[in-house]
Amino acid sequence: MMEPPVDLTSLRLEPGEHELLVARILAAAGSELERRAGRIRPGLVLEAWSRPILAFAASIVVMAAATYVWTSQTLATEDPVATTLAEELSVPTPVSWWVTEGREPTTEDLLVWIADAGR
Amino acid sequence: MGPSDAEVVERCRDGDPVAFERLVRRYAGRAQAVAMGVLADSDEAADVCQDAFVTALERLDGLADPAKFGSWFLSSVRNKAIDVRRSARFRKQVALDDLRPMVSDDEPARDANRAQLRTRLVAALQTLPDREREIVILHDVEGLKHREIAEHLKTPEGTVRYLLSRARGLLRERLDPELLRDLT
Repeated sequence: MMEPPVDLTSLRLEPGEHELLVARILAAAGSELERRAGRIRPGLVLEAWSRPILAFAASIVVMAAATYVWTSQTLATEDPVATTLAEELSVPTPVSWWVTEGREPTTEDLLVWIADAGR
Repeated sequence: MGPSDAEVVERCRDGDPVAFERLVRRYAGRAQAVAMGVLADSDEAADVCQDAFVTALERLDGLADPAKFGSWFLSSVRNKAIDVRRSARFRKQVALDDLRPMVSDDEPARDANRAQLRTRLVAALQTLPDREREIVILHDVEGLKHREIAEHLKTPEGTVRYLLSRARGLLRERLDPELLRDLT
């Protein structure tokens, strides 16, 4: 059979004692709480860095696109450049024809070329 | 009711002082009772409580399941109190004079009576075997259930009931009859 209890409630912390104990503990834990609050966590670092990095990347993309558009427009307004091998080599016009047409010069072509060259 | 232990512990991990205060208010009384059960000395018990809370905060990242903070923390309080008891056992026998009464300015007479009563109760509790003293304080002072004490002490519930009854019997034998009449 269970013995009846002795009243031990006077050993409980009174409200004032409880508050005192809480205050002591909070004061003792202050530096550790500050350390934790100031601690750098990987998640927070990524979060902090992701936005500036994305903004930087976006600005690079915009600059690259703008450069591309500007360059395209500039090239479009300039004189057309030589696009064939004969023109690149600056050979006389009749020769470039032969080359681009892939044929051998006829006697008539040679006479015309000699006459032009003599002028 | 408020947020669960798991939620509060997560916020404490980030150094939230409001969350930590909530945790302290939730467990300070029980921690004091656990330490008091081992040490039977309210000043030493308060020191152990303070130390245990700070240590728990420092080691909070190692707590795998924040929902189990209560049992994890109270085990730590008990272990710290046992360490103190071992270190103090041979250098100090707590004399009645060492148990300083807490007297406030508001109600000095009432507080003096209460302090005297505490002193006599603590003196009687100190004569109990360690396990019996822990159980009677956890049950009759802090109001823990048999099952909770059994889990905390890792002891079968039936054993807790038996030791509680035995502790109360021993306490009756060791309190003077006049005081015992007031307390029962």
